[in-house]
Amino acid sequence: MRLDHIRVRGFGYLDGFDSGEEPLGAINVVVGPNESGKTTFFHLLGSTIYGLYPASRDQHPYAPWSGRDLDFEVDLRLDGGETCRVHRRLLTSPTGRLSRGDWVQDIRNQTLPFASHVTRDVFFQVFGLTLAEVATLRSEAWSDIQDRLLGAMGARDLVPARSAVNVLETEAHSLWRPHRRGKQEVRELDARIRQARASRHAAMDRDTGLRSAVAGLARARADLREAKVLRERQKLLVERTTRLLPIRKQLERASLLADEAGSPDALVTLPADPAGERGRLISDIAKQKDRSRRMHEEVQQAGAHARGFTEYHQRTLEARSDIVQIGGDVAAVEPTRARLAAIEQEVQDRQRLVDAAARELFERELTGDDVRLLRQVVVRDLHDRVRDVLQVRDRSRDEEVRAALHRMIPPPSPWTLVMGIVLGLAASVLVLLFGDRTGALPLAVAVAVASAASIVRWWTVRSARRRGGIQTGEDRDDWAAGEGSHGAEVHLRALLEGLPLRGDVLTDVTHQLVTTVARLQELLVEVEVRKEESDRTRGAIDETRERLVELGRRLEIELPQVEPAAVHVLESKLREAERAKESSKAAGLELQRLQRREEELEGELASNIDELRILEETLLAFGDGQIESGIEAVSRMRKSGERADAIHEELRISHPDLDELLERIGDPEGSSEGPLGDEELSAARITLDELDERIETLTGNVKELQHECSDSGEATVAQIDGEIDALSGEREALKLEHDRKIVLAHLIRVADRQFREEHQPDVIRRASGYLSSITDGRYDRITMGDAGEFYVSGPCVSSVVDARHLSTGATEQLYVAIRLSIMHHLDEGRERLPVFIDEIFVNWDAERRGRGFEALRELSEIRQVFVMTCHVPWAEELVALGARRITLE
Amino acid sequence: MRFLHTADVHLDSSLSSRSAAVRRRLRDASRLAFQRLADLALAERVDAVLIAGDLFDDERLSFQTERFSLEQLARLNEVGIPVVYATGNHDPGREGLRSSDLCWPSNVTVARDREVKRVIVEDENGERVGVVSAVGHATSSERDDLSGVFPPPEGHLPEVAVLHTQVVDSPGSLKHGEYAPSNLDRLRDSGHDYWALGHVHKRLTLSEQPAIHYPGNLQGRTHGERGPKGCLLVEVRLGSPPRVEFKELAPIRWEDLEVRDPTDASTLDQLVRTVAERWEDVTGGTSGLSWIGRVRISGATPLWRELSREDDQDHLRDELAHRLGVLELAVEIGSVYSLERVADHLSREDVLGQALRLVRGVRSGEVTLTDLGCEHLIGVENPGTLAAYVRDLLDTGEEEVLARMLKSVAESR
Repeated sequence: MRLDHIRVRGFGYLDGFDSGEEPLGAINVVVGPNESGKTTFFHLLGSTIYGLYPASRDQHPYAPWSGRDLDFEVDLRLDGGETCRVHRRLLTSPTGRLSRGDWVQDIRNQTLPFASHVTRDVFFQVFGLTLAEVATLRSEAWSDIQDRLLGAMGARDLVPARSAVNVLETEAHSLWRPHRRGKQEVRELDARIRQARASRHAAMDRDTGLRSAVAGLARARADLREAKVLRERQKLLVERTTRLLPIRKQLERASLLADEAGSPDALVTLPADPAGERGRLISDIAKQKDRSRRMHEEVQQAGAHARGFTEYHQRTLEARSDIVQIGGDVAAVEPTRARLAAIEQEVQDRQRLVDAAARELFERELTGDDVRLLRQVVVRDLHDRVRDVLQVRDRSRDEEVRAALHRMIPPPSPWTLVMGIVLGLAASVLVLLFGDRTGALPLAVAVAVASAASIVRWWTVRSARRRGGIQTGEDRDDWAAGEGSHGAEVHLRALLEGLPLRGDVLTDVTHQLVTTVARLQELLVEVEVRKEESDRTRGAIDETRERLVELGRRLEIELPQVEPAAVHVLESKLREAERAKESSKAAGLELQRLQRREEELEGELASNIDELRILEETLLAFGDGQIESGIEAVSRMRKSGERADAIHEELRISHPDLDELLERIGDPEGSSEGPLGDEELSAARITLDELDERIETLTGNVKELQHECSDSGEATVAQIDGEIDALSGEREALKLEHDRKIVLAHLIRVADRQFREEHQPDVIRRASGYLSSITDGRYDRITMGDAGEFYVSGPCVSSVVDARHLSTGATEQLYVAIRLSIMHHLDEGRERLPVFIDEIFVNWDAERRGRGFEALRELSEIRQVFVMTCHVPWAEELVALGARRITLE
Repeated sequence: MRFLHTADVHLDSSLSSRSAAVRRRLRDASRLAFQRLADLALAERVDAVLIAGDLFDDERLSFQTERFSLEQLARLNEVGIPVVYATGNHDPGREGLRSSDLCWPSNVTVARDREVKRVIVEDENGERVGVVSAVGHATSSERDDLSGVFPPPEGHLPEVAVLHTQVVDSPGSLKHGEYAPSNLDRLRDSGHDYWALGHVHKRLTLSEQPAIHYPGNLQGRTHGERGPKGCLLVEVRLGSPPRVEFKELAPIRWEDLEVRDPTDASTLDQLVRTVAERWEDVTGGTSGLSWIGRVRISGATPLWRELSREDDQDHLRDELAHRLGVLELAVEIGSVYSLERVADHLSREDVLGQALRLVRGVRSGEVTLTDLGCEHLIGVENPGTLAAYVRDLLDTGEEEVLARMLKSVAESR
């Protein structure tokens, strides 16, 4: 496969690059300074064949900074002569198009189908030979170079097979290496397993020991119980001898004393000191009698006090409500009196007003009859009468006025009215009879007017007279017949008859008369009302006074005249009565108490007398009729009883287990043993000591065994077995891991051998050819030793040279030869891929370089070669060999 | 008749763990489960407790555990609950062995050999409610079918049979060795209303009617015994199917979590979170239990370097144990490798491509590594099994070869 034309629209520094119309050559030298795009060119070649990676514009190292897309087109000529065009582009995603004649295939970002025999990684690693790669030869061991070249076919991304194998085997051996020394993980595990197994034995022993301890504990407890039983028995025997017997003797003594003391019941009724008690009783009785007598006197006194409340006090208390009532009433008398005075004052005031008013009307003071008559006057009638009188007077005056007017305005003549009517009729006749005649009508009209005027005149005069109040003669006559001024006055006088009126009152009658009479009547009523009230008030006061006096009489008290003082006296008496009652009541309670106390005292006295009697009778019984003898006998008996009790008490204090001892003393079986003799007692004591010692030992054993039986918290057999299982599991895992690594190492070793066996001879053979060309025949053969080492030989060297001993230049030549051979091997029989050479000859002298160029020219006969250099002279050398020059700016 | 059916208590059995503290906890858990069994029997006022073998591991039974178990049985004795115990292969009953030496309380009937022990069960009112028959293992390697020893039921009362056996035609039976093998059809046709079996540690119902049940063991002991463990509360009446209810008693539960190809986690903390989330899904946030977990991580992961280093493995284990709140956590790092794809390199014409194809050939059986013998390996002795053994070892061989030979991966290890 060869590239004929390249057109770049966007790819790093190669933006706008166009290889031109003329196809690219078999060998092409790309000249340009550093950073002009030579490496970019190689990537362009690779991208043409394999697609754009990374497939993201943002991450692609050759995406144009201008923001344009990666975009380029390459014309290819395949080895068979077919041409095609590849267009690659990277927008947001990569696209690719392969045009073969008329057929256009969308290849997206895939490898060109005729280049799939070499992977992208291998292409970039193997088909690009750079100065950097060659430079590492100086520091790399030839064996590693060899591995890389022949094992990895030059790929630089692989670890040499030998290295991988070594690492795996080393790891495996660090885990497990049977029958070998050295640090191995399995040894640690084995050690721990052994340790665990040893612990297991210990755990089993512990468990066995524990069971044994438990059994031993049971036996020890049984032994201890048995020893304790023996000890108890021996103790009993010794006790009988040393302890029980004295106790028994003491008990016997106590029994004698108890017999002497007699039955406790006989003395239980007697006091501890009968004589003293007797004396005390006698003394107490005397004192009680005296107290009883005094108490009786007190009772008498209290009775007298209780009778202090008399009948008089009782009556007074019964009048309590009256006293309280009268007190209240008396308290109200003074205000009542004041009120009475005010009322009387009002009466006087009203009376003066009456007198004043009466003087206006009457010629003298009014008597009772006058007042009565006056009050009988109906003011309404009086008002009417006065009015009438006044009206009459008014009318008289009016009449005079009317008469004057009458004289001034004569009454209308009735003939005026008649004439007017007649004229009116005439006018009407004229019209009716002679209406159609000339001159009749104006005549009728004139007559009518005259009629109207006459009527109007009559009417006007009549109206004027009426307006002047001028009565007709009938009116006047009626009035004169009806009333008359004299009649009104008569009525008026009749109404006021009997009253001592002043003469001018009736002559100058005015409405004032009515007013005055009405006023007088009011005043008289008021005076009467006030008087009645005064009388009532005075009556109340008097009534209170009378009740007060009556109350004093009922209670036989001489009361002072002054009511408040009298009430005070009554209240004092009432309080006195109340006190007397209280005193009597208290005295009664006291009397009751004293009476009870008197009874108690008498009871105590009687009791003491009885007690004395009983005591003396008892003492007489004990003393055979003599009290003194009886006292002595009782004392004696008591002492014996106390002594017996003391003996029992001493025994209890000194022998807390007395009850048990008493049982033993009373034990018929036990009583058969002992008392012992001295020697036997001594031997028994020794045996007892031995038993105590044995019990102490056994008790210690029991404690120890109990401690042994407690859970020590140490691991049990099961727990240790669990640990062993876990460790064994890890051991098995180690085994598997070891074997896995060994298998993998073996596998890689086999793969390496197979691969070399398959590919190495051909590579070496072809490399020999390239070496011969590169060295101009100096070295024309490469061979491998048994151990895989390389040797070179040639006609010009006397012996085979170990590749490890070649000079740097020769090493580089050998390396290049092998690399070229590998390229050949990788695509043999398939499309030959172009090769990219970048400044690998920079350290070669001119001669070597020339030979190198020649080798490239020969190489170009089978595959297209692109040589990158910044050295213009070298470019010219290559051009001279037929290379096409491509200049990058 | 109401009774509790349990088996395979395995008190004081070997509990595989590297931590002494965890082994102690597991031992205590077995005891606690057994104590809970007694508590349940008392609370439910059952008529009997049936133990179908392997109550303890013979020679491993410690004195403390022995005393403890007898105390628990004595509690049942105080209220008159009978216990019928048939010995198994781990606690055989032959004279001289541990089960024959123990001072069993008077309520415990031990079937220690082929002689059928028959117990009439009465309720608390003294009425007869059922019959329990039991046959035990005399030795640890009984090979006969002991189910044939049981006499046919009389039919007046519900009849229950207790036996430690491997029912050969039951699910998963191939995994177990043939200890006292029995046949499912024979058990069905025996006429018993209920077969209380033991030996299989996984709870199984072999038949509903007649009821044939394995209750599973009382407390899981290894990662292979996951899930809730306990006993069965059974009520058997004549003429109606038994009612069987599982009662969880084990205070510790085992659980496994497989994490393959954790490609999303690019840091150990992310991996911890991922594992924690999946753990939560698996355990369902169950409370009141302690957990022992095992997390197996394998496959392609960005953390293949870290997971290959011991320090990081320890850190991961500690973080996970803390995060998951488990009693113990085993973190097994299987074959972990980078995200490089084998397929991208399989066709290489170099030693890597050759090795990858070779691995594939060996795994498929097309290729045999002729110069690799048993003498090179530790885990295989029989040449006849070598090929299969090597195939198993190369389970993720291609990924491992890639990780070893690709410089970008190998040099970062």
